[in-house]
Amino acid sequence: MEVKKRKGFFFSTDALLALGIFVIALILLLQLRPASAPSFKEPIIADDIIMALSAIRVNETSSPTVKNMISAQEIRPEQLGISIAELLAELWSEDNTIIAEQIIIEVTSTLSSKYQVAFSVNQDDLFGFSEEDSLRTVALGTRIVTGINRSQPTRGYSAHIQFSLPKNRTTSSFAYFGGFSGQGDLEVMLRDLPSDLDSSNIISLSMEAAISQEVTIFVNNNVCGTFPAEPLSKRSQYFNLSSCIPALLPGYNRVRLSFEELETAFVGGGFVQVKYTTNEIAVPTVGQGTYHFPDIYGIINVYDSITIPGNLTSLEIYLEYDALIPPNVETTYFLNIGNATVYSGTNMTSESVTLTDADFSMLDYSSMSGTIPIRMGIEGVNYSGYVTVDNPSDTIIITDLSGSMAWCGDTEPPLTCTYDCRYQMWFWQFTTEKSCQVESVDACAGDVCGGTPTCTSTSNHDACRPRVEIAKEAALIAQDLILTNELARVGLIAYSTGIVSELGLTDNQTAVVNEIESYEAGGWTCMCCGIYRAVDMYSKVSENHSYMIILSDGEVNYRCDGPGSYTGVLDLSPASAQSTVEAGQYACENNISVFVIAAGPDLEPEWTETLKEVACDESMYFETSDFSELSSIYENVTREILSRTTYTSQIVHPGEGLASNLTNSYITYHYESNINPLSINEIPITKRTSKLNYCNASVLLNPNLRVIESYITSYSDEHWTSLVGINDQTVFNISNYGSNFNLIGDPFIVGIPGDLFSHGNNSIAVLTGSAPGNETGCSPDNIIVLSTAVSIIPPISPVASKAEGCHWHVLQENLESFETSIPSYYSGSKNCYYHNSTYDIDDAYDISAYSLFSQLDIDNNGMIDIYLTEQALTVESIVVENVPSLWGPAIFEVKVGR
Amino acid sequence: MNNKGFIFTMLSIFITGIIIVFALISYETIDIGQHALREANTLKMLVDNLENDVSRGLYITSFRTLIGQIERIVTSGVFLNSTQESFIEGMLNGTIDGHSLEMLENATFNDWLTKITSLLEEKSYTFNYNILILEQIQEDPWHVSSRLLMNYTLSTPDSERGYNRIINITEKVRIIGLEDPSYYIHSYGRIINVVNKSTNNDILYLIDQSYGASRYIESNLSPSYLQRLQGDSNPSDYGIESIVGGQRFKDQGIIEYDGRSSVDALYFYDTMSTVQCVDGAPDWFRIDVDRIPLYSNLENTSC
Repeated sequence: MEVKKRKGFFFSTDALLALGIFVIALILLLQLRPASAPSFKEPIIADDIIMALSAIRVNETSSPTVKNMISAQEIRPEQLGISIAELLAELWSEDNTIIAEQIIIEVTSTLSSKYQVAFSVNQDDLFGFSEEDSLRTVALGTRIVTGINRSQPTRGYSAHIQFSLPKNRTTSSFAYFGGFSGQGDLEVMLRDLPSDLDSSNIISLSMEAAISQEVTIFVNNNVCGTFPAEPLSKRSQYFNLSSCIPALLPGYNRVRLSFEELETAFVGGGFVQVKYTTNEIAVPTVGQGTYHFPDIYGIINVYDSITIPGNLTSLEIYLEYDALIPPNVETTYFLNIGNATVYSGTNMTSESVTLTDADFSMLDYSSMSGTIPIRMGIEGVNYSGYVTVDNPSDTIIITDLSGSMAWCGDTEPPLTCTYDCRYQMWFWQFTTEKSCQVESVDACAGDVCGGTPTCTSTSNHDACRPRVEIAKEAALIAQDLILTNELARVGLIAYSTGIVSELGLTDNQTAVVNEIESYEAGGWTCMCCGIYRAVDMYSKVSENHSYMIILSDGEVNYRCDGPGSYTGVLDLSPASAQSTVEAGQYACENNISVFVIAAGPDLEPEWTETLKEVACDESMYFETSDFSELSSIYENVTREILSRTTYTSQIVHPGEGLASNLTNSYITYHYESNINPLSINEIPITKRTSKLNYCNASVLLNPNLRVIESYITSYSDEHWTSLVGINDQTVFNISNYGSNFNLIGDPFIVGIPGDLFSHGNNSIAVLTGSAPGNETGCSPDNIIVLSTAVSIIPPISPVASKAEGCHWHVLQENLESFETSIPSYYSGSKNCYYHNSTYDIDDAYDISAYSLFSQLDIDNNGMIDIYLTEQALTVESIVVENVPSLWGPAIFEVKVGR
Repeated sequence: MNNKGFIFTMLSIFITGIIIVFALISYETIDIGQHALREANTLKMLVDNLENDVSRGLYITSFRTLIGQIERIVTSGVFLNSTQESFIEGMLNGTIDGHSLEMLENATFNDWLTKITSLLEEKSYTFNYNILILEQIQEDPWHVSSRLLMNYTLSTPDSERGYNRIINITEKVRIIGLEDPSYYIHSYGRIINVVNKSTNNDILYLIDQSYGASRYIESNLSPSYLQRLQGDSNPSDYGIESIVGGQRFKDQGIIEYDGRSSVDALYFYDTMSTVQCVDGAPDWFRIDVDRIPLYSNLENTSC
């Protein structure tokens, strides 16, 4: 029993020990087993979920949330084909995680409840990760999704913006007058006004023209008003014809100018303009132009031009006129193009003629490019012909009679022979100087002058012509020319130590000649005395054009104390020169045109510099070292003065009983254009200068502009537009067509080829004249019109998150603000400002618009250099939607566990 | 008896030890197997990922390249010399005709490949590819397709396992909503016309639309959208055409081509065709006789 008990205990203990060892072994095994190894099912489930979410398209899912989104159009059409995984990733990128969660719940609802899922994108929790830690086993499935990024739009907008022309825009139609359209009542046609024209869309009707007498203007026989004429020559006047706006009709409209006096019944350049808005913009015909003569009821006297911007290929002329010709009068009607007479009709009372290329053998088509003058008129009739017009003028010839003027001037006859004559009286020998005129240098020998005393011997013979004699001869030529102008007067002043001779302004030529003949040289040089004296002479008696011709042969050595001082003080310092310059400039300031002639072989540079400054400008300073040239210089200066005071007019004086009318006549010309038209991405910009005021003007061309074509107006009145140039290149020179201007046309508009313009400042000059070398200035009212093209690279924005638009305020350099909505239908409240870069940088429209305007801001100062307020431009825009972005790729993950 | 006990005890310890050793070996074997399976799964998953995402990458980059091609036409003012060459240049270099475009900045197919390569390299996988075909084609009138044929290898870090596969995919980009460059070029950059599909072929409806924004119909007598990018007016099976409202051009100061067919391809390219007017249509409208069957409401062309 005791043994049995002990065995039982032993076995029990052994069994327990064995059990303990087994348990320890089991624990060891369990501890050694990989703790987190998933079952085979979780990865398969994770993979299945990923594959399913990648395979099922948005439009295939049964998810109610997705279906609702589709029906609510919260899912875009192009998203219907993407997978649920991509949709979830996109919702994450758009921060729509709540909706994403809902979709996940719905699409994983059939998964066994013992499995739990968690989603993330780029390790950013999307769904279920709050429970991840409790998951016992976890399997991972991933999907790469390109094109998404957290809080970044997956798709965006790209806007393309450009300028275009609005359908309904403001434009103008013109009817032009030539440089001289006369004489009589005139009628021009406003052609091809659009069919949608009525009073409500006409903005203005006006005329700008140079006229010489009161005019009554009619439009389609309706009186617009009677207007007085501007008294000044070559000035354009503005005529407001708005009272005739109701009389304007679509199509053709007649504008008639009615004058009282036939002699001044003309327009010296100008145009009629009607400004309106229309939907019918006429496209200009390239390669063809038509010039319409004005209808004239009086005497046909037309000076005009055509501009051929290329190579002339054909020409057709239609002329229709009739005339009342007095008995026994022969008339010739002529039409000149350039310098060739293309039509000549003698003694015809009426004519309608068509001329074609075959009739123009006298024309060289190859040379007919640019502005070509046209002249139509009558010859051979009993009228007093072309008018030469004199203007009142006063010229004072100021001559240097200082001692140096007695020196030798040249050796051309008549010569003065001087020599030392020695003679004997009693026992003493004496020497005296003898002088007399001789025929030649050789004749100046011995006691050629003879007389007493009788010379015992002679020496130091010198045969020459004193400077003073040459100066006298030159002054005589000058006064003679000046006084050919019946309204001119001449004054004389001679100076040396002071005023040594003077003659007040007079038209008495004998008195002038006598005074000049009396000149003798001697003394110092007080030029300022002469100038101040002359200024006083003008101020007392003259209101005419005033001119001063001053001669000097060298250094000035007398100083004046200012205006009114003409006695002078000897001063060998530079103060004398300064005083003389001040005197000259004082005269210029008093509207006296001061010409200075410096002559002599001994002119020092500092003297000539002084004399140059005495003249009103350098063009009025003349210099020669050879006194023999003095007469020709005087003549040139005098002719210059004469050209300013006398001219040939385009006006004719018709004889009694003569009348002629011109109607319906035209010239049609075809040409191969050499204009570089607008090319793609170029926007037309029209620039019109203000009145030039001077004969030389500077036109600034911005670097992004190209001139297509341009023209300058020239209100030449009864003169001819004689010269137009740009940047030292001549564009039009009437002298190329002959010297008798009366046979040559007179352009009102002179075309300037666009390729002659350069970027930066362009110097443009226009002059009028009445004969070669006889310039008559220019009208201050001339303007330049440029058709330019601005090159713009159409901005296409980078992809932006939205495309809403804005109302833009764009400041121009003229401080006006150009305002426009971009896109044109934008009606929101957002305002954008170019000058301070205020716009939405996430808006595709705004980005593009800013870029567009910045291309017009050449100096980057926040103000655009093209004045859009003056241009008929609108802004076109489109936007491309749903441009995808290449974000990422993002990693879309699903974790599955139990 | 004590010896027996000792022997049994030792035996049981020995057997238990053997069981533990076997168990450990089997655990390790299972772990190795599972690791290999996981690696294979991961590789397969990467292949799936890659082949799924390449479509997305191709779509995104070819869409942007198409926009880039249009942008290049608009900014240069001339048609593309070759759509195909510009497509490849845009997709791979981010330039068109050598010009960089913001639209393609960091958004080329090459950029996508670079991103994917670096992503895989981060996981120590080796990815090599060779683009065999990359082309832009038109397979239907309203979409421009981008086709990619690419051979690639993806292998595990130890290079023991890997895939060598061919990707042959085509992605379609809708042209509706995109600009038709032929309008832009022929209007000197002043008219933008967006491709919008007409709901019907009624000629009067299309004429009416042409005053504002011309709409398009399918036409195998006209060039496709891709042809339009290079100014090619030849007909295509996938062609589209619109009616050009001449007034719209006239409004922009552009000369109206009287007497030409009003269908865009003929209007722009001055093809001499026999044209007819249509009763009820505006005076300016003309249509070439070949196209009459394409349109409805064109019964009476006797005018």
